[in-house]
Amino acid sequence: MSAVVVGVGRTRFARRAAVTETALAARAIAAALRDARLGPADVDGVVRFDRDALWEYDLPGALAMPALHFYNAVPFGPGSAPALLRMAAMAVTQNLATTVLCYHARHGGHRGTSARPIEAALVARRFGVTERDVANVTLAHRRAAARNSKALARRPLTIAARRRSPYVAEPLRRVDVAEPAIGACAFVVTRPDRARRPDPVRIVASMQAVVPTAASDWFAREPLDDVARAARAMFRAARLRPDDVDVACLNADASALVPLAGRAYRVTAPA
Amino acid sequence: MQPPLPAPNPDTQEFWDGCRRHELRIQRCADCGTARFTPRPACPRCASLRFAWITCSGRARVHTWTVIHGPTLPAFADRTPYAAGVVRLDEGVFMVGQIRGCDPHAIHEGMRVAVEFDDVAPDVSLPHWRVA
Repeated sequence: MSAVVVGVGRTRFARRAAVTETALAARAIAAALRDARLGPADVDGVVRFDRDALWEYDLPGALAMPALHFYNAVPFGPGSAPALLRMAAMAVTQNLATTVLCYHARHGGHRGTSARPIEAALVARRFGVTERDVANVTLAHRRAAARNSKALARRPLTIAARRRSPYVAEPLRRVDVAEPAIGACAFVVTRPDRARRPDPVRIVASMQAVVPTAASDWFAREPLDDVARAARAMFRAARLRPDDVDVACLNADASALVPLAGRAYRVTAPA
Repeated sequence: MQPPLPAPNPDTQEFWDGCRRHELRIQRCADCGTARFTPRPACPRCASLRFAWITCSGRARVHTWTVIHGPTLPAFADRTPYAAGVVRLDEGVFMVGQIRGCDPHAIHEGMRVAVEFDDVAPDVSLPHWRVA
């Protein structure tokens, strides 16, 4: 049996908003269920990130989901969003649940004191990602954002304007690093025979790879090789090749990591 | 202003005690001989739980680096821009730290550095790297 995505929901995104993560999650979940033409009582499984404020234990009381037979929390959202999809697909195909809700809500982050841009800069330098490569990614992101009414940074960015943005950690400038945002997303995975929409999206393959969190381990091991191995296994499972891919969503909160992900997946980064 | 201080635990205590004496202490597997850092209970190569602590030479080469402009924590704000990076010790392990003693833009991969310790609190010293 296969699993399908039948609904997607999200809140508006903002830099500042007086709203709790619980309320954000509730809104995104309601939107996803509406999109799926399903009700809370149809949901019998849930997967979230371990950092989410709304727990599966809260769901029966908060969102009228009476019987959750499968629940799971995945670490490190939102970069590991595909893991939500993977767990949900597993639950459905293994008959552990029929309809699985996945969500993540986030209220801000820690701009200014985060070590992540610095770690991204160190990895970029070591693996030959130049400032020009970084600029290409940031400009491509901003071109896409300009076409997306839900995006937060919709002002077009030129090469010259990027160069006026101050460095955070060379070669990364402030505009190359994602700013913390406030918002939530949710999606619904179910069995094909439970889909009420005519256009369910089939999940053809998923894969995971563990990358170290400590900079000293990044270089002692070869995590990008692990990612590349996982990518090859994913393509094999999907019976697809990298050049069959038209759209790739490579999540990285610093532009410098996108070309490395593109290399590992063997999809071409935007130029 | 004081930088954030380490919070030693039973796995890392020996490393931080070494820093206080201005010695760089790392673990070496007692079975396969692989050196490892950061401190941890088992060998990342052969999974052996047997190990010994050794004192490093403190000599290393720059593996990767960046010039940090901030925003940073207040304790680091008056140093920006400064260089920091990952160095590969002669013993084969990788460590992070500031890289000092030359123009940050003159740093290059493979550059020789040596450890130096900042005494940041009465019983806490932190390792950094100076161009040799």
